[in-house]
Amino acid sequence: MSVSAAEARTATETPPSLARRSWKSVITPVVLVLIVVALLAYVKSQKLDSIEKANLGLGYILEKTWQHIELTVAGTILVLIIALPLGVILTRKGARYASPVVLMLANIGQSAPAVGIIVLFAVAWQIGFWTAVLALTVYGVLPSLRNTMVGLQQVDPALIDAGRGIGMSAGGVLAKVEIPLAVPVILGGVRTTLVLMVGNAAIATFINGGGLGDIVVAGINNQRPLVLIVGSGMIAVLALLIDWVGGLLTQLFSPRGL
Amino acid sequence: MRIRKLLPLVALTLVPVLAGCGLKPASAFIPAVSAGSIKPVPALKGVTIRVTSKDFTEQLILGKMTVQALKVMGANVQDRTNVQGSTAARNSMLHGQNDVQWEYTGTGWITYLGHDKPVPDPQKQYQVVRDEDLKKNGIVWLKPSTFNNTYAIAVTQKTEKKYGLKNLSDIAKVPTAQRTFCVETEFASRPDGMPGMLKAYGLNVPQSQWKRMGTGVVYDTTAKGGCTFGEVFDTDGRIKALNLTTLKDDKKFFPIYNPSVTFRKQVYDKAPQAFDAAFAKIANALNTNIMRELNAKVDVEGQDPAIVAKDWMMKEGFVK
Amino acid sequence: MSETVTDKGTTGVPIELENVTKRYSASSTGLAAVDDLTMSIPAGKIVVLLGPSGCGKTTTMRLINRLIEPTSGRIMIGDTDARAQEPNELRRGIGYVIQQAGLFPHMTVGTNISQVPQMLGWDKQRITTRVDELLDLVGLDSGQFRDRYPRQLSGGQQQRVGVARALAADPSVLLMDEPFGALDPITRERLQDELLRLQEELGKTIVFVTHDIDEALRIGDQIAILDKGSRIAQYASPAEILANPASEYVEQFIGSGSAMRLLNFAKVADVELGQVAEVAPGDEVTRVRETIAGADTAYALVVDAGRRPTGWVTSETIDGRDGTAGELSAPIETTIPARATLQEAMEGLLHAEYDVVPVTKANGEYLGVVSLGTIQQELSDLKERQKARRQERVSAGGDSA
Repeated sequence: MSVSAAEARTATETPPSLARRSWKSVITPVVLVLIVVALLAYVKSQKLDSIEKANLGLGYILEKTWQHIELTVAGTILVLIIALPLGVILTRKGARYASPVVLMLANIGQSAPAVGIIVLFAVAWQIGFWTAVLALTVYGVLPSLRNTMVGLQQVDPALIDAGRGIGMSAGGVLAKVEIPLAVPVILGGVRTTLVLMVGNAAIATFINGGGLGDIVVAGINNQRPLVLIVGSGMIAVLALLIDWVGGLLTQLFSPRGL
Repeated sequence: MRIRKLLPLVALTLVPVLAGCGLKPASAFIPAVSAGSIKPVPALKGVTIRVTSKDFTEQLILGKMTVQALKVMGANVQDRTNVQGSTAARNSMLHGQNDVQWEYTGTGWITYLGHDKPVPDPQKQYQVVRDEDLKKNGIVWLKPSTFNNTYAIAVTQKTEKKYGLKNLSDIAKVPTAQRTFCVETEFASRPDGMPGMLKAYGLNVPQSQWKRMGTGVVYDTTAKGGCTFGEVFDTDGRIKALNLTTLKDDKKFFPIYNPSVTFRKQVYDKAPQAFDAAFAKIANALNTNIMRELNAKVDVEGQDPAIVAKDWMMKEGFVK
Repeated sequence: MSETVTDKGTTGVPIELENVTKRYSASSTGLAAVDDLTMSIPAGKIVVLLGPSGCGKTTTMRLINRLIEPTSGRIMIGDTDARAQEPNELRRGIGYVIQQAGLFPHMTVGTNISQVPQMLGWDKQRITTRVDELLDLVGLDSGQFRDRYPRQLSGGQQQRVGVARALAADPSVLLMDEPFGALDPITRERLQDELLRLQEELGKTIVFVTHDIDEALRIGDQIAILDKGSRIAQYASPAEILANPASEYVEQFIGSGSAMRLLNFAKVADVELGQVAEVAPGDEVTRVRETIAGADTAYALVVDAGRRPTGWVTSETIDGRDGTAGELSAPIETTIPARATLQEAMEGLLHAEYDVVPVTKANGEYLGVVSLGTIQQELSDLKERQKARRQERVSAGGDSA
């Protein structure tokens, strides 16, 4: 007894493949690279005084940009290590009471002035890259944590019931059903964290953490607008680029069929 | 998501504002003061005077002193001190947005008037700055105080003993790999800062050993041994508090930085003798030790600059 | 779990609920969701738990696979206590179907179905074969559907996959919680038919929860009508419930039109069938004449060695002829299956060539005959019983619902 033709006709279409989106998604990084090239070309064409020369050498800019990326990536990885397991734990039945407390701490981390936090850390511990990463982590953990929790909470309870009902263990349901279905929301939070990190990594300059903040603050303190523009421009381009990468990751890791 | 994209740009705009706050209090409150030896001036009644300053402790204290003195003299004072960066406050005066600021003779000569070589004699340095700035920019420089808030390089007492350091030339005694410097970003870029100093003394310090950080962090890190040398200011109270010593500028590279009250001419002309007299009182009463003590009250004891200014002026009898 | 093999070749096991209670409040006198329930679910049958929302029917079902743990009492599945097994392991041996199928949207149909076999450690080849087998069983073309995602399927197709997933590891018990409730009436009826067909092939023990009386009457071998606290108001076959409702509550539940419903749902197999004279296909014509003469009727039914009816012989058709019954018989144009309703039987009777029609089982085996008279008798019996019941109630001074 095969299905009737009528039923077969009511089946819905296959979701659009990833291939169809590819040409649109490549535009963003291409445009951003062009902006950077234009900016650097303009810098090269200008007559620079000693202060500007010290801060706008191509090698120097690239070095600072790479440091900035390192700060962002290290901070984000640390955020993931903290936020993902914590988000899972706080959505389990036993730990519900703890979640408002933890969320409050994460909130404080984001709303307290990051500059104050980073200097406090430097004085309490030491200056440098890892202290800056720690301060960035405290700042950026909230979106990832919150999205992990929301992503898990919005999974249809009927699916969890179905999973348990057919004999999956609680851990099995978590790994095979809850987390895969929460991934799109979680990745949205990670994307937000990434962008916040890029902007905020500028403050690493205050404790010898490197990054594009060095160029920005040099521009401000020495009143050199060109230096300031290059520094902040690179940060903005990085932010948009990282946001694009975040979108790409979301597409790649979201399970098909959703 | 769009708002999120703007956030880094917003954060950037806030960086200068927040960085200025750093670990320093940034209150704009004016404590109640009344006339002492500084007396009210009828010509200034109802005149609006906007006081500005740079963002570090000494400038804040001097700025608050100015605010309170002018208030006692009867002017309608606005406290617009604590501006980030060494030239922003100066620029605001040139553009007519502020009226009075304490500035340093060396800074005026080199940074503002664009000369390369400082004048070694303090008195002469003041005179040439005063004359040229008045002619070119309509800025009046009052009689300066004698203390010299110049850049200095500080070391821990341990480092001093280890290498037998007394002068900046002695840095050559330290092996190149140990020559790590904690510096402010500004000092690292200014021609009269790190680059000039290394050239004048013929010292090789690779870029990787220039550690850029916020001012407050320099003192702490140098004292903890995070770097061998720290760029400090000679009148900073933290030098003594953290048991640091400064090296002598034996080649006299760094310019003289005597502090002096600078006015926009239009405002100065409202009561020139009164201004001269009042600020001469203050300038004469200050010296390096006193300034270090006042700075320490803020940076080490955590008092508010406005209170420190008031307490000192009351002690000197300038105000009640 | 031991298996009971019935004549259908079933793989189901019986389920025993003994004094099962589920209480949610701490105090022992609070209201119980399931209050001291004792019930026997025979192997290989579809037992429907029927009742209004909140009566505890879903809770009862979920006690069986320990999604809810009983406060007290014992549940035996086959000859094993449900509590003796590790809960996850227990559930892997019980099929579970919920409303809206509960298919995992991020897995293909094939992956969904293969969940339990994967958990049980089957090898890949065995799983692939089984998935194709099951899709075929529930009426979906495996080539077309195996790699589709649930959201590309209609509601009816999704529920078919849900049933396939529940059957994947060949459990002996199937729990179904209002599985067709979210579907349109046409699809619902089609799937109910599919379930009955599947059951005929597989013979599982099925516990089916619903609040729809028509659905219960249609598919249930036994129906337990439940009241608050999962208290059994009546536990009997559909025909019995329609013919003899145990209380006013049950009557209210069935609603009006019980007489017509009876015709719609009472099975032919449940009424007393008539018997006619039988001859074997090999019987000589003389013997046939004798048999016909001996019976009250002018005809006889030719039934072969496998108890299958092959034709009619009447005194007319054999008059003056020679041969065996098989050669002389006229073919049977109409038979009525045992599981047909009385309504369908009436239809058959109206279209039949004679006024009796043979009734056969699914495998063709002859059971008896039904005539309009049979049905008439059944209806009058029903009337009598209803009258008697009403009198009983009046004399008892009203009964508790």
